[in-house]
Amino acid sequence: MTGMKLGQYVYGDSLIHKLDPRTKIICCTLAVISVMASVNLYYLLFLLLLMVAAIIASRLSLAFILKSIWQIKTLLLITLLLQAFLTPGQAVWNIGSISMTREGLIIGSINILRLIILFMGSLILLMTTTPMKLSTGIEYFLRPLGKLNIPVHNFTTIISISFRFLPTLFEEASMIRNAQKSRGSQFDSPQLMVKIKSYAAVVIPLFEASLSRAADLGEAMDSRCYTSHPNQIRMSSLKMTGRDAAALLLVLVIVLAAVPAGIFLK
Amino acid sequence: MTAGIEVINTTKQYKVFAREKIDALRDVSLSVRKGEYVGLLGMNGSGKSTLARLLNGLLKPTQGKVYVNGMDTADAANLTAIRRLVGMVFQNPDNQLVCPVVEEEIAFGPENLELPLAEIRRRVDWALQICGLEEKRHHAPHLLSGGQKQMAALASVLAMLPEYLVLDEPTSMLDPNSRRMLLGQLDLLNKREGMTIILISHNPEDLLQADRLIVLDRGSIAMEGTPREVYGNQKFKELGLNAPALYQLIGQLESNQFPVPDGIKSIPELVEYICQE
Amino acid sequence: MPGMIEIAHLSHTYAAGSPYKVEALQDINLSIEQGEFLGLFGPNGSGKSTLVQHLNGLIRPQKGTVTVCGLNASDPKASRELWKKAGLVFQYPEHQIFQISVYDEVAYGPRNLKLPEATVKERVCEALQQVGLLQENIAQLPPVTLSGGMRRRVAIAGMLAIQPEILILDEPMAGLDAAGRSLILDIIRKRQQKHETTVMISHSLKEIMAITDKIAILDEGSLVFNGEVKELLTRPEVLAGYHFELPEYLQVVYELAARGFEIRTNISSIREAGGEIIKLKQEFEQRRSALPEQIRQPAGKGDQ
Repeated sequence: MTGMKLGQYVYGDSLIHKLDPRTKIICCTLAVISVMASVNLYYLLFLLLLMVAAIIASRLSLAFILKSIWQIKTLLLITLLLQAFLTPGQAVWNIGSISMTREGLIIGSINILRLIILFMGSLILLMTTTPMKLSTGIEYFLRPLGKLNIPVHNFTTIISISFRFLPTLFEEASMIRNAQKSRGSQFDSPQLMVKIKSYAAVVIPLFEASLSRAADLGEAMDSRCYTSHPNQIRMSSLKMTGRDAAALLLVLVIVLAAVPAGIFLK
Repeated sequence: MTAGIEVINTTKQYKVFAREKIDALRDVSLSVRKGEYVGLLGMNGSGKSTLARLLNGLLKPTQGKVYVNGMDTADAANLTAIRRLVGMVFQNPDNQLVCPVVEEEIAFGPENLELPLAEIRRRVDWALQICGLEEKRHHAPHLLSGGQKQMAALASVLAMLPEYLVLDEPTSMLDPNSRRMLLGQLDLLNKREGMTIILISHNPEDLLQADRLIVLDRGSIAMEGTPREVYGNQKFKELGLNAPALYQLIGQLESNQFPVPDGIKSIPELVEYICQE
Repeated sequence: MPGMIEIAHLSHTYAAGSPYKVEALQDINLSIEQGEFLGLFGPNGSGKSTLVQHLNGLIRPQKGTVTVCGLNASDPKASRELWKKAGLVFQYPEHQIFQISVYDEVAYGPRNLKLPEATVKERVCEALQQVGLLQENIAQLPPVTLSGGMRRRVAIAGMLAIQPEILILDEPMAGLDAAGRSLILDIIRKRQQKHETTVMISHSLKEIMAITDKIAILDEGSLVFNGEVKELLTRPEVLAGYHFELPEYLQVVYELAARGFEIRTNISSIREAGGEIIKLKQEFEQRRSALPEQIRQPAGKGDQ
């Protein structure tokens, strides 16, 4: 079994898992807005604590989340350094003509904090919500666009077909990889060209298989009278409960309470 | 409205790689009555897949006509009704399932027919139950075996309550156990539910339960009749085909003055008959 | 003398230690001689694929040893060379074709062997000839323009061009119609006649019995039989689970034997089966006509 991939859904029946996907989407959106609009260190630290609380409530592995954050360390480091060197202010360290400033370091740290909060929020969303529930939630919000003749339901059909075949594609890739290894492909060769050719030997057949699959699926869908329609069974599985009301209320209060406290300065 | 599927003097031409036209089917006529179990036997290139797709309007004839319960497949206005009546199951189990959950897949057809939610639920329950997939209801399709996937495809077609079931080589990618399971299911659907079955295959062993056999060769119908008539006919061998082993054995017995009655189509039936002699 | 392939106490567990654990292979002991043609039979999930993937280095033995042509599969360096000795052709091998021309596709393997281009050309021509495709510029054509059966032969040629000492075919005739099957059968028979070591996986006993006498049966990870087909036919307890896979005439005969009729079961053709059943009937007729007039009954049900 391969290791768990970043952002992959983890089965569970925690409080957070049981929330309606629409609730989680709204909460995430509110969290994003408040993070982007705030520069106050203490407020951001409070949000960070909230994220950790959410992780614990969803019974996800905190160690795994921290490891995932470690995976984007390069991005965080670049963010910090860019901010540190490009912000004018009191110099702390000089390299030639450019200097790292104290103000730069502070702002850089705040930006890293923001990124970490957003990252954690996204991970919690993805790890506690199945892809299908997530896209159903998104479709719910996009429904009004249907009035403008935008084919919203096609969007979810595309997403659902992609999710349906993602595991199949992984399996097929693995099999083709083994077949090519059996003919001498070297996927871990130090020579770049050899490596590229080996991967091409997997990607090209996968692509061809996907094309013929698309043709077959089209026939199968036409044979069952496919037209773009809202998915009633899927939509009917979304139910808001008291839990959702409570969560929404909580997040709303936190975000709104920040306003009178004048946190949203600029 | 006349019941049954009628194919009248139908020809289908294709352009291959924008070069020449080839005749996939040449002046083919056949009719299928409701409740029949028809086996369509043909090697690759005989035009059988083309014929299958003509039956539900996926393809339109270049010449000639195809009627389903009196409706012309060339008329676009009829297509939804025709496709509701003629359910099609294809060869590749994986490439027919579009939804990430089995239950949704089975609901796919009824949803497209814009049926009320309660009716959709009822049909999904029925189809799951008749195909033995209740336990897999909430599973993702990739977790199913090849045979189960094909059963899911069948269930999703059954949920539209078709009158005719056309299956284009449904067993060629399945392992033997799954193949037997699927063929058994088709037999059940035909005998118990009165479903008309048109089973297309290159393997005569798949068509043992058919009441009537049609043999396609290079775009035209070469032979037609009951399995006994077709397999016993010298022309069958001339087409380069081999009768199923069971019929070969029956042939052996018959040629040695051991007559075997017409209705016998399976090993258990043959054994029973021999025991009674 | 050690065989070409020696497998001793081989076990393999997928996802050990997790709730998804699967014991794919349990204590397999198998030896394959040079020049042998072995049919490997077993239902879905019996571990056949897992077993053969040990032979060409795709899987390293977790427990037990695997030796192929003298190379120890547990040794990381040696296992990287195994693909040259044991060529594994997967199911539906035409799905792995990725080159623009048939020539390049078949040449892929030899080129990975780092052979000079002149040798590669020889190998490609020889391989295409072995699969019956050395005609009319097929080598220059894009594989996508060929039929399914031809593409499969191209894929097999791609493996034959590597000239491995052992060829392993996983369901080589899957999904093909009668014409396609007989072409593949030709390739396999030619190999058999030249006594080249081959392992063929199939989930059809009928198919295996038509080609070879040697058969190994895997079921749920264990080797339940390894020997000659003749011997297998005398072991009803092994056959019990797979009797649907037997040729139909054998099924009829076994069923009659199971119902108490005295009928010879080690037959190998439809004609023989027909003959045996006729004999049975004739014996019956004789016994019936030997009975006195009054007791003569139609349809001897009581004799079962």
